[in-house]
Amino acid sequence: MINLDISFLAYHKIADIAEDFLRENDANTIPVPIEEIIDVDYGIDIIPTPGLLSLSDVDGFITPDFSCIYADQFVQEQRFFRYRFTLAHEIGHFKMHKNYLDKYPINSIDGWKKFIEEIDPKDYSKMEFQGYAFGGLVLVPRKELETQFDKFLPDVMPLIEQARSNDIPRETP
Amino acid sequence: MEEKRTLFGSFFKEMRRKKGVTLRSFCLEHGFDPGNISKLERGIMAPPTTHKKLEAYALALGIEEASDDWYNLFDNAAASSGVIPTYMMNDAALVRRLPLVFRTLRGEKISPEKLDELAELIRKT
Repeated sequence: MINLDISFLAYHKIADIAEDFLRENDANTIPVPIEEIIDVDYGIDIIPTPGLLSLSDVDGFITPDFSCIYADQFVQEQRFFRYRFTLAHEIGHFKMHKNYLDKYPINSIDGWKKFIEEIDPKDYSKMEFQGYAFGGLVLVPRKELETQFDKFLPDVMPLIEQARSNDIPRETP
Repeated sequence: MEEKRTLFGSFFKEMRRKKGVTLRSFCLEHGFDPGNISKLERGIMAPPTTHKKLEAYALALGIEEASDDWYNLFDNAAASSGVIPTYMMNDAALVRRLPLVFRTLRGEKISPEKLDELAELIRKT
């Protein structure tokens, strides 16, 4: 089994990394210009890839040298929000996992297949969870969420009160 | 040979990024196919040979007519033409592109056969 010893990162730690990323890139606007940061600022090629999703069940990935992100062309054109999340998720690997992956250079196609087959599932799960968390925290920044929450809560409160007074359960079928 | 192959694409990409525009939005705005423009920028598709098409690219990139950049674009296209179609990603280049981490929609591992197909898709894209 291939063990990369991926560190456990608490959610608040990932949030800090996401906030650093936003700060470093002057991303102060909503929607966060994730595509611009990756393509224009970082100079990472985003490569539209027809058939990626249907072939492999994968809608995007970043290359080990972190020079390109392959994105399923259908998702890019027709599922824009998912595409944005894919970009944010993949750049999360760049921010959090580059050092680990750099230690495991792949020299052949067979070596790559061996890596995929033998990587410790716990390491893999950690990287994926951290990527998911980072993606969400970048696209929905905590501070912005709090601001919007405070702004819209007064509008929503009467509806909540109405639901409570009519005994409408929190979870409706 | 390698330098000539990527001359036009590198210049094209540099000009687009100088405008602060992503590949996707550039293509959306000007009606270009993002897959083809991506191949053009990476030097795996030959630049157009017609003046009209090159002019359309130059204008989309915001290059002023008769400027240095204008002539650079046309000169680079001439230098790159005819060089590219022989290019095919070799195994060493392909290996640098193979993903080490990727998430499948169903969270399942990809079979070795599918991995081979994925590698070939990357080679061709």
